[in-house]
Amino acid sequence: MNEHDKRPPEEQIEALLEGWQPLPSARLQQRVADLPWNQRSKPMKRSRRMRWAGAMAAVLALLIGVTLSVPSLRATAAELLGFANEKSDTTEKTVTFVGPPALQGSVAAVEAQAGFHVREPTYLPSGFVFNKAMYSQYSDGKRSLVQYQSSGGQPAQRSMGIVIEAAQWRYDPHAKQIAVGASANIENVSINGFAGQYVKGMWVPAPGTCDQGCGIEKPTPAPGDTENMRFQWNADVSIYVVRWQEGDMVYQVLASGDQFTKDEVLKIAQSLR
Amino acid sequence: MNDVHLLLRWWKRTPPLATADAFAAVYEQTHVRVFRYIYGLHNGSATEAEDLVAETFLRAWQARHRFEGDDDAALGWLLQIARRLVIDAHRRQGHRNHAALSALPDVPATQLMPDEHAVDRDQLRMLHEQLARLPDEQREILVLRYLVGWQVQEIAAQLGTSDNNVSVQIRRSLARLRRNWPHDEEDV
Repeated sequence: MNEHDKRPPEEQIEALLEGWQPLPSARLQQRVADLPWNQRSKPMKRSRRMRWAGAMAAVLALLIGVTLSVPSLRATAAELLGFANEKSDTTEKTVTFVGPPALQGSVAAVEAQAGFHVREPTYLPSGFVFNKAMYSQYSDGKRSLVQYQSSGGQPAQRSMGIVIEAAQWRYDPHAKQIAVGASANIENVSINGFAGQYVKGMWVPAPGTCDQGCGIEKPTPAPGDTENMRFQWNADVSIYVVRWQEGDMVYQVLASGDQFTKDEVLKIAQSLR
Repeated sequence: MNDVHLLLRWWKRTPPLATADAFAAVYEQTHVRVFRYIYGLHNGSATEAEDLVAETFLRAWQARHRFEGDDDAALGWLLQIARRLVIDAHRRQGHRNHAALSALPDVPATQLMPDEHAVDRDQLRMLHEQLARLPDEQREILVLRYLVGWQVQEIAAQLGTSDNNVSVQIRRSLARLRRNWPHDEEDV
């Protein structure tokens, strides 16, 4: 290099680039403060909603307490809460597509919105990590969903979810049972002393119904859209479900993936805290 | 509908940036790098870059239901939006001429460098000017490498080119910056 050349060598220019860390000013924060994603509920409003949700939960708990204290009502409630076999392994269902969840974020954020404690498992199979938590309010109740996902493989095949729902959903006469196929083997299980049920399998689109692709791969329809679909119960698919009720809460652990076993899904369920 | 099936559909179909909370979280994670990308690519002031950052996130918000990737992919998606906005801004304002460079922003030093004693502010000003004189592709690669902080492989994936091409362009860009650097310190 020419000794009279005062230009910095490339290494110095590179170091200059690496040290250059421009930051936006506070003006940017002011600029985005009014943009749509920052137009969320004020804390006071949320706290009012939580108080209202708490009051409703208390009333609901009282109603459930009365229901469970009367044997005939208790039997009816138990029937409403469990899995039930349909008359055949083939069925037609009207699918109503749900919209995006009202809230998606951390467990704490979902908990604040839901107004109930969102349990998380203390045991997870190796490789699974928290992915996201969601909350939705439906006409028949409210539910939170915490999803854990494996770092490898296809998400739809290796995902595990935990669903925690409010019990009033179960008392809706139009959504009273989770129907499974006639051949589905519903097993009674105990989760930390609470009666529950376990089933393996799921409804899959019947052959010829979705030649162009449907089910989970179908393009997203608009929320509220409905369609009639024909399903067939498949007990061989690696979907494992265990559900049980504690007080006014219904819990469901759903695991999807070839690596799961019944014992492992029950272990996850028992670890919910 | 069977609850299990419904849940699987729900999981798969929920756009990851659909909610305000999820979007706000991505904003927090990415807005500094989006700013650096725009500031490095755009020949205008920091104030103009901030306006483009805000516009980038607004466009992203409006299109959030079409985004299907994970958090890592979100930054790449945002930078694609930002890139289009920078190009539009250049077309509108005729910024791609060197005369405009003489009016480079007088950005407060604290905005340019957290450790203002470590790097000479005038040199950074000169660097910004010289960066603007590079061909578009070379400038973008340098911005992605040093201001955004991406690895060669990430840059290659974002720009749809090979790792080797990115590496070559970085070396050529650094050499070009050196060649174009003024001889006299008075020029700086």
